[in-house]
Amino acid sequence: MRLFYLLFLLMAPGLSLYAQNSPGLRNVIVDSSSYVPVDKYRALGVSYTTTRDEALSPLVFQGPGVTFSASSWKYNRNWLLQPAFTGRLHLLKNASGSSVYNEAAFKYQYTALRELLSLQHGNWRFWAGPEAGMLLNMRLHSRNTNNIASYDWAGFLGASAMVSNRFSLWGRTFAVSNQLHIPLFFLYARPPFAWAVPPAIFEEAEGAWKEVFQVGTLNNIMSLSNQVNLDFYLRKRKKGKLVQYRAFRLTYNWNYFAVGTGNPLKTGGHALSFSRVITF
Amino acid sequence: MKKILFYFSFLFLLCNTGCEQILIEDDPENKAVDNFNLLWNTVDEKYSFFIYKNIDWDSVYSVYRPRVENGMPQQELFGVMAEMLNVLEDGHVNLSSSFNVSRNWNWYLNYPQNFNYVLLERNYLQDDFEITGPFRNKIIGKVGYIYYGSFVSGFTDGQMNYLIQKFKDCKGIIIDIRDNGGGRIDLIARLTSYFVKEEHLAGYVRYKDGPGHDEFTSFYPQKVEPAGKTFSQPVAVLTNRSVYSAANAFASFMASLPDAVLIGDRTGGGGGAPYSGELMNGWRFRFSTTQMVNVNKEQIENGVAVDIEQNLLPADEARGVDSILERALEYFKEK
Repeated sequence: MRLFYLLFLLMAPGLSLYAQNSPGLRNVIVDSSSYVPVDKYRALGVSYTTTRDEALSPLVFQGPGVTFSASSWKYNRNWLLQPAFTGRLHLLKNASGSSVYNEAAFKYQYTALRELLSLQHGNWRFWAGPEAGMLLNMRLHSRNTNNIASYDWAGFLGASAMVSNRFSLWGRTFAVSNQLHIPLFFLYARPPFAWAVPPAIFEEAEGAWKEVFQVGTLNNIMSLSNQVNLDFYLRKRKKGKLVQYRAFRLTYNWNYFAVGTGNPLKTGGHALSFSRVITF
Repeated sequence: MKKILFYFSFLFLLCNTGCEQILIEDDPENKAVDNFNLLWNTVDEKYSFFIYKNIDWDSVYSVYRPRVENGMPQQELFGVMAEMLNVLEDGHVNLSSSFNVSRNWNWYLNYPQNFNYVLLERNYLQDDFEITGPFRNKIIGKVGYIYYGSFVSGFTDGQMNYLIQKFKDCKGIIIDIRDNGGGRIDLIARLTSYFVKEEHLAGYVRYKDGPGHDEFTSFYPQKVEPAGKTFSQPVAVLTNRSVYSAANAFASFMASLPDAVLIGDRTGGGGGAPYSGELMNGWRFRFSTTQMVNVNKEQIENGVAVDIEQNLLPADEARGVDSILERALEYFKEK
């Protein structure tokens, strides 16, 4: 079943290219040729994470949490600029339920997408561009001795691609966008093989910082994030008169991060969040 | 087709569920054999004293693995695992279940206790000693006496400065750490800092750096900076076989000082700091992943030798005399 899911995921971008659109759709994502205000999103939602962090435990821990984010989309000529900050808090438990640990995950990234292709009067758009950012995950396993805390810090450079579509349904206008983020180069830090803190710092050794940070690429560190947004309007009426449109965004995010060296880490999860578009 | 697209979007959402579970392997099954293998493998990769203790961990697997069968009673499985871990002869190695905790306490059980707190309190401390933070203290025969029972208990600069001031006219300081089983690692250098006058190299530590039994980091020097105020007198540290872990390291630090002596019995050891893990059945375990050594890079896992050997003699104990404390007092009279 899991293989089916993986194959379907790989097919999804290709399948979406064959979707059809009817004429006369109102463009929820405004034409990039004209200057528009920055669209700001403040989202709150729920998430679920699966983690194996061998710095804390050889076992898999899973659990729910809350997610919050602050991001914006700014159109600048042919570019779409996307600064975004995301935070998640989780309570994870192992399969036997015998122990739990807390996890806090934070990520900031700045993505610059350039429109590469526009089809069907802008109803379909394809974007790609570079991105940079950093992430910080911290975990606390209070039942351990000495290896109580674990962390992942990474600064990264990578690429992102997005396909967006607008359409009308039931008399309303919607926009769907699917964006994939793939960091390619990392500067990262993880707990050492058998201790919670890089001993070089702990022992105040000279040149300690050189032992703390490592350079990584996809052969030893991997990060993937896929985000699907559904934008829609709700009409606000007062005394039967239409007074305001309010725009909202429903976002589903899947993310995965893995480090293969030292104390190996694999963590991935899902988040569903909801935000009101503050300016549109 | 619009509806197909709309429904497709939600189907796409669904297809994203469970993806990371393809990439993150499941835990081994919660069966006796899998739990045994996880314990053996984790210790194999991270335990720090195989070479020093000349332990063939592969042969240990050959001996104990045949005794494990899926479906065996939990107590029996615990017994096999505990017996296997006991081969390490390490007080920092424990397996904890809801019904028992495995341990190796031979490092003090096989030796005389050499400490009687009731005797100490009734005949030496009596009713006029002070309790300054974790330190029970008193001036005994012009010597400042401090008993520190556990490195789990922290202390403040204010408390130490009080003792320094209180004992400033004493000819010597006795710091008694008998029966101190250890505690916080950060307090080792901190307590030593009140006995050094300048930056002092007190020992070294190294950490497991990879899964091979000989994969370690380099030795990191452990230097102690003097505290704001320090004791000016010579110091005697009283030890017995129950001095373990952080207390053992403190004894090693103090042994490196030129004006400090260790009196009593050799310490119990415990030169590795423990690191935790857990099994699928909820049992937890810990074991040593580091090596602390003295200033000469000699291992302290099996204890720190004393400068003046002295046991608590049964005849002395019977008449209420602490032979080890008396030897320390005599040491300062001779100086």
